[in-house]
Amino acid sequence: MKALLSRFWPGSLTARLFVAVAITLLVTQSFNAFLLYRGQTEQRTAMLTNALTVRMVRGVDRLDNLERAGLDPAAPFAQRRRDGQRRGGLRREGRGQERQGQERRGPERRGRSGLDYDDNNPVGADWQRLADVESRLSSLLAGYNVIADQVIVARDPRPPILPLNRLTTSNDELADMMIIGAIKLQNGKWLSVRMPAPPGERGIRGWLIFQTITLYLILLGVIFYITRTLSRPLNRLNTAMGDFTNNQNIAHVPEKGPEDVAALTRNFNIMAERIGTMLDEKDIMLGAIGHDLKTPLSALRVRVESVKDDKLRSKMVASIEDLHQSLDEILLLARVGRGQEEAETVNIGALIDTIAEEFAQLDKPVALEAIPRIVGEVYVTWLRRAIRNLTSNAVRYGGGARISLTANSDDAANQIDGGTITIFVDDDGPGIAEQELDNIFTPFYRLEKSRNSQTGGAGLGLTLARAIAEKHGGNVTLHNRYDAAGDIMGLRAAFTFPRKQAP
Amino acid sequence: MSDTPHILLVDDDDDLRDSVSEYLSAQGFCVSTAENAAIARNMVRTDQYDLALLDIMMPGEDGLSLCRFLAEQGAMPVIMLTARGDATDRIIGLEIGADDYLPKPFDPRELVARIKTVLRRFNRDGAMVDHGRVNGYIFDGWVLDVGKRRLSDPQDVNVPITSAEFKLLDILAQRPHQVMSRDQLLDHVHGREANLFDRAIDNLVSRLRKKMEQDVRQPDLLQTVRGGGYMLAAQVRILEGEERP
Repeated sequence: MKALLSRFWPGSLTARLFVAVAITLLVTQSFNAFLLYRGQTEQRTAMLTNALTVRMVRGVDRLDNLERAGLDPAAPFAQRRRDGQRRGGLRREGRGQERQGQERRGPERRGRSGLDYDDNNPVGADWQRLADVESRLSSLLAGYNVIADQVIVARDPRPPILPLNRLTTSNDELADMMIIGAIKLQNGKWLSVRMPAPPGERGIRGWLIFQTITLYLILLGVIFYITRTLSRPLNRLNTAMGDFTNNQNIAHVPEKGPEDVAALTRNFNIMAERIGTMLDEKDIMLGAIGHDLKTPLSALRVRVESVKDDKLRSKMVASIEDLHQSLDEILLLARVGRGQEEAETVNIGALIDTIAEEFAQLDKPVALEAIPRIVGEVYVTWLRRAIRNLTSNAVRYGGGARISLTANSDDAANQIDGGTITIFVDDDGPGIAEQELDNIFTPFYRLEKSRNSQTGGAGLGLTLARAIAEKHGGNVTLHNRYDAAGDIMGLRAAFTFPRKQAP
Repeated sequence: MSDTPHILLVDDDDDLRDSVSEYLSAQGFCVSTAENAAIARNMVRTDQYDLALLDIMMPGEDGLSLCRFLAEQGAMPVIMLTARGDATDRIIGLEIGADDYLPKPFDPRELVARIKTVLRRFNRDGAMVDHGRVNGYIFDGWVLDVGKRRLSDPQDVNVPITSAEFKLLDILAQRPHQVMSRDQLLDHVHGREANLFDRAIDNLVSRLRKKMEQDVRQPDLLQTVRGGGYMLAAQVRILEGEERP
């Protein structure tokens, strides 16, 4: 049940607001329509009861008058039936079943509207009774001193006589048009009134539904507009925040929408601007640090050339190189998150080839398996740096590197549009203990402290590679490669990233 | 021009100016130094220099602006020295007319080698090769952006190349349909000092073919001329001035 609810319950604030208001409106509107409908029905019942009462009372009066005059109440009615005229008397219904049946079939008798005086109950047993009208009628009649043994009000299924049936065409509609009210008098006879049902009974329900739906739709439209004015600035703000988080792209969001949302946007803008200034200052500071440290380092590097002792000089040069490399890595790591450059479409195979060539020029054993033409969107200088780091690690610790490149056209598992590209850097070295495989990405982390002097760099090579992979929306992982006997054959670094960069 | 090349070194750091000028003097160059761009401009007005070494980051007018000024004069080649490790400065520097670029801290021998290469190229080509004006070459859908040292294929995909590959392609594109001997190419690519064999050029060409040719065995663009050398067999359009690839 909860799962079902949560499936249909929307996630966003404005959609929730919209749905909640829509549901509330639906309930109140329905309730309103129901009350209105009840009011109308009530009114109709009252009208019907009053009309029936008036006729009944009049009929009883007339019966009394005839009785007082010593006339047979049925006589004028019988006469009227003969000449087909109404003479202020009452009709007298048939006395026997057989005759009654015949008479009912006669066209001139069917569904006549008016007063009848009868020996038997004129209401069919299966006709639809109107209980609330019956009870009201009996109490009203009591008020007029009409004593009835039984009060029956029902719908008369017999169609009305002309000209009413000329107005309508459908028999269905004619069926419920007549109402019959009958009372059993103290003498055991039945006085009945037949009259058309008050107008508008059938139309009212449809009209109410139509009116309710129209109102509902208008209100929904208004609410939709309001939630949209709320959701649009919120969405804009959200997009800008996402852009800021992912690309450190600071865009001024227009401060529109409701007052509080506009205030939120304004505060975001101020905050983003402040962060942007801080980041800019950081960049300037890093640039200055880089310059101020590298320039004296250059001077030192030049002066070292005058050292006569070759061994000493090469050691000094190595130290300077080491310092330089550390400095570079720190500066790069601090800058990697800043998304100022744009990703470009690059032939990754050719890029890997240039890296392998650089190492080959230095007589480092780097092999490249056949270059496939794999094209991807990358930050080319950063990617070059990352692969260079992985390769130099492989050369340094594994005695050599083999670089290969594969592309998955469709990476369904990660749902990355356009697939992923993976660059593998393999070596045949001793590998890394499994429990260290993750630690090794920690900044300044080193596996063997004793090898510090040989290795150079600040221990940021892998950290930087991973940061660069993350900049590309990907990752770097390290795995040991095992031979058939289960011994470590070497290490594999896998640099994976989506073929297309998120905009 | 005298036998000892006259170098103008512009850097705001005293220590660097001293050490580099000492080193270059010991290597047979005549070095004058300036600590900022304003002084350098004055010196250029009064004296003749063969090459300028400019630091990019300087208080006041920076090295890029000074480089643009010198490139517009066209009087001397420029090598930029920069402390920034990334490629942005290099690209900007080369685009505004610097002839080479060297990140700090540099190996002084590397600096000397670069100075000699640039000087030789400048003396030979003189003002004929207008460094500030040729932006790139278009051939067969390929674009070689000289400023950015960037090659892109007919689908506008960046095809990274090494700097030796770039130099080879650059020189071949300057002379399309013209056979270049391995010696000539080697001279352009590595400089005369480079102790390399002809084989180096063959390697470079074969690497470029792998990146550029449909069929490496039957190259369309980079053709071998039997007994001669190599040539770029394509119609080349030169991008000049404000024109961008």
